[in-house]
Amino acid sequence: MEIALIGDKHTIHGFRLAGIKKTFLIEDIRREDIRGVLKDLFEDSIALILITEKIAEEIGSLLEEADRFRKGIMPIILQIPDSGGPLISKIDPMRGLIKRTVGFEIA
Amino acid sequence: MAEILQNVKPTRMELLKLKKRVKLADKGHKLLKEKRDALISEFMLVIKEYKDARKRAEEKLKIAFYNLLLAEVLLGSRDIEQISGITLRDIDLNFMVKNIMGVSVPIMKIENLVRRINERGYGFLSTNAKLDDAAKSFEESILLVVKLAEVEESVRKIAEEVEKTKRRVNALEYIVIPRLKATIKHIEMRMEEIERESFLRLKKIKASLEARKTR
Repeated sequence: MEIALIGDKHTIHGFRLAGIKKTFLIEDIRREDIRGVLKDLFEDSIALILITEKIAEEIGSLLEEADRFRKGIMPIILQIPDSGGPLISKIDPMRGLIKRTVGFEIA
Repeated sequence: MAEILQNVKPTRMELLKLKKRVKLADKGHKLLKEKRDALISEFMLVIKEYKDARKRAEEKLKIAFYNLLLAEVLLGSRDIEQISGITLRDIDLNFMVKNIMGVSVPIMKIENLVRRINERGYGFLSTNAKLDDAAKSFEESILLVVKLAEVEESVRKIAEEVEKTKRRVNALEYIVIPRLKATIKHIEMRMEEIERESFLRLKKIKASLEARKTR
C-alpha cells in the first residue's frame, strides 16, 4: 500500500527524495479540485495521507467532508509540520479529545 | 422521580418481567463500566506513546528540512526538483488491523525504507553529501511519521470508543434503570391498591349478605 502527500514545494521535494511517489503540490491544485483529489485518494488503495499542517488548516472542512468516503480504517490522514516547523498557534486537536475522553487534561 | 414506562399493565407477570430486566440492566451497567475504565487506562498508555512519537517525528523532520535546505543552497532548487524526480520508488507499506478490546487500531510496517547511497538513483558527480543526508533523514522521518500516524489513529479510535461506552453507561445509569425501577414501584403500588379494593369489596359483600340474612 502507498503513502500520499499533499504539501508545499519543500515538503514535496524532501519526501520525493525519500521515494514517495504520490505527491501533490498544493500550488498545482486549484481550490475547487481539492475535493476531487481527496476523493481519488480515498478510493485508491492508499494507507496514509500526509498533509502539512498549514494546508490542513486551510482545507479543514474539506478534510472532514472527505472523511465520509472512508471505508473501514483506511486511509489515515496525518498532519505533519512543514519546513517552518510545527505550528505553535494551532491548538493541538488531541488536547480537546483527551479532555472529552478522560474528563480532565493531562499535562 | 423518573418517568415510568408506557403501556405496561399492572400485573404480576409484568412485574416479574421488569424485575428480570432491571437485573440484566444492572449487570450490563457494571460490565460497561468496567469496559470504560479499561479503555481509559488503555487510552492513557496510548496518549503517552503518542506524545513521544509526535515529538520524535517533529524533531526528525526538523533535521530533515534543515538538511534539505542546505542541499538546496548548494545545488539550487531546480536541481533538487530534478533529482527528486528520479529517487521515486514503490514504497511497501504493510497495513494490518489490531483489535484492542473491540476497537480496531491500525498497525503499519514499512520495510527497506532507508536506502544505501548508491540505491537512490542519482549520480554523484553533480550532487553532494548534503543531498545524501537530506534523503537519508527524510527516509528516517517517514518511519517516524508512519509510527506517529499509527499511534494517532489509535488514540482517535480508542477515544471514540470511550465516548460511546460512556454514553451507554450514562444512559443505563440515569435513564434506563431509574425508569425500570420507577415502573416496578408503580406496578407494586397499583397492585396493592387493587388488593385493598378487592378486600374492601369482600367486606362490603359480606356485610350486605349478613344484613340480608338477619332480615
